[in-house]
Amino acid sequence: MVNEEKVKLMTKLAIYENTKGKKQLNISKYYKRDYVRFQMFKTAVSSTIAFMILLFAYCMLNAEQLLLELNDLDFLGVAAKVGVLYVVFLVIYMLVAWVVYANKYEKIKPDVVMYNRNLKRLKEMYDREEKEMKEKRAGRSVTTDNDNIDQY
Amino acid sequence: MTTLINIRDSVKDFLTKYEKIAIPVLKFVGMFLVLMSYTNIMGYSTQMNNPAVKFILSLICAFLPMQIMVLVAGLVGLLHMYAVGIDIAAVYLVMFILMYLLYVRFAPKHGWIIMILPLLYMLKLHYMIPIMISIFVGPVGIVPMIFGVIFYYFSLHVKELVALLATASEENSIQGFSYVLNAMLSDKAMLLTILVFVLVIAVTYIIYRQSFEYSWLIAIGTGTILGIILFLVGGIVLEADVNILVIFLGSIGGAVLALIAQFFKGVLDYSRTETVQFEDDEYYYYVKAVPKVKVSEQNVKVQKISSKTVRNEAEKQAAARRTAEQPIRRTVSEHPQPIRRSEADRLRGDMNSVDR
Repeated sequence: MVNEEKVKLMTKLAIYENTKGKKQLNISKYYKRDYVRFQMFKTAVSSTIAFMILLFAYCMLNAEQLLLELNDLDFLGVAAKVGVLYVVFLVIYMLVAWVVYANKYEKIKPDVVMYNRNLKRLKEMYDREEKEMKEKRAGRSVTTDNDNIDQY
Repeated sequence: MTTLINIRDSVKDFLTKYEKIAIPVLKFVGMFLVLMSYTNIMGYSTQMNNPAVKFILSLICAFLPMQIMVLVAGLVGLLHMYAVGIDIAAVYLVMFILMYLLYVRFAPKHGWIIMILPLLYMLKLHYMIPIMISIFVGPVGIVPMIFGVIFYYFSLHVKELVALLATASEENSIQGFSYVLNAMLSDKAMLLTILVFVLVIAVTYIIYRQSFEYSWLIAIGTGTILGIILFLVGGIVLEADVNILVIFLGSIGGAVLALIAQFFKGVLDYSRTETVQFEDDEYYYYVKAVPKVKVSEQNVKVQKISSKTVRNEAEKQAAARRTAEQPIRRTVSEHPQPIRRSEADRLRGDMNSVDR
């Protein structure tokens, strides 16, 4: 027979898995620290690329002036300036990423906890069902034995 | 006020009931309008100006998630830019990539703000943007809004460039991308718009979040007035060209729309009917889960089911009140027979308990 409680529980779990859970369960596979670090690493890569694009765009825009000054350009000084800019840019972005992803992880926590709790309840339900089934079977086998005995 | 609330409830009911059709239709209409505004503002690519192409694209987007819609809109913009020149398209693409790397990665949900800005500009309703963002999105919306404004002004300068190219002789050819970029970097109107929008969002949001009564009304009012003043003052100080009449009419129209939007806020975040499939050792389950909702005033069909069991008029009224207050499955008629019967039984049980 269909166990209504079990179906309700399974439905709730399935709905979560199909909607919010898709992303959240993926995130919850990681520990918070690992998740945030991984995302920060990705942010570092993307913001480095973005910085390079910005730098390139700046050079293109001021190409004429740069070409004029090319001969007496203090390369080391310029490189140091660019380096400092890059570090500042990166640090800002890392901070943003840290806040954003740490918050994100905290935000999904209650949902995942609820999901796990429901999952546990479902498992308990299964265990109970199995136990009842075993007892029933054992009981029936005993009665049949008894029947047999009675017949004798 | 009650009529208004009833209208809102019936809109919500309608959306919940027919969401499988209503949401794609809304998406289709939205995307079509957005593409139309792109044609209006850019409109360089003849293929993309073709109504049939817009129609088909919108139709496809109706069934795609929002993020993909934003991407499609971005690609349409790219094609328009490509029709002007490959260098302009390259600049546009670089801006797009930068936007993705620097922002969309963090909050892909709010990309639609960037997509929808040209449409609001076309309708001259852009003065409501900051108020709408502070009501619906909050300060997170500031960054996509800035990107949206930048993209809009970019397309404006491309328009200038196209006009210039049409008149220019071949000898003094203009370098397209540097013209557009320099025009953008020295564009005071764009800077003013961004500054005012950010300020208005901050102020409106802070007031909106206060807990005193009618804070939403005061927030919208303050935001609107602040927007008008800042645009006028900023326009004079920065010597950017601003049209006073457009600012006034646009701001007030925007405020009215914001009030309507505030009233209908929350209509779209209902819990949806879900259809799920799963299995265990014994069965396959195909479950349709209908969220419980409160019955609106006019939806009194339920009373008829149980009216037989109610004896006198007073009891009937009490019972009806109880039924109406109770959350029940609204789409009773959609259920297969056994459920419907059990629903009726349950209600009758309630009635009986009232009788006693």
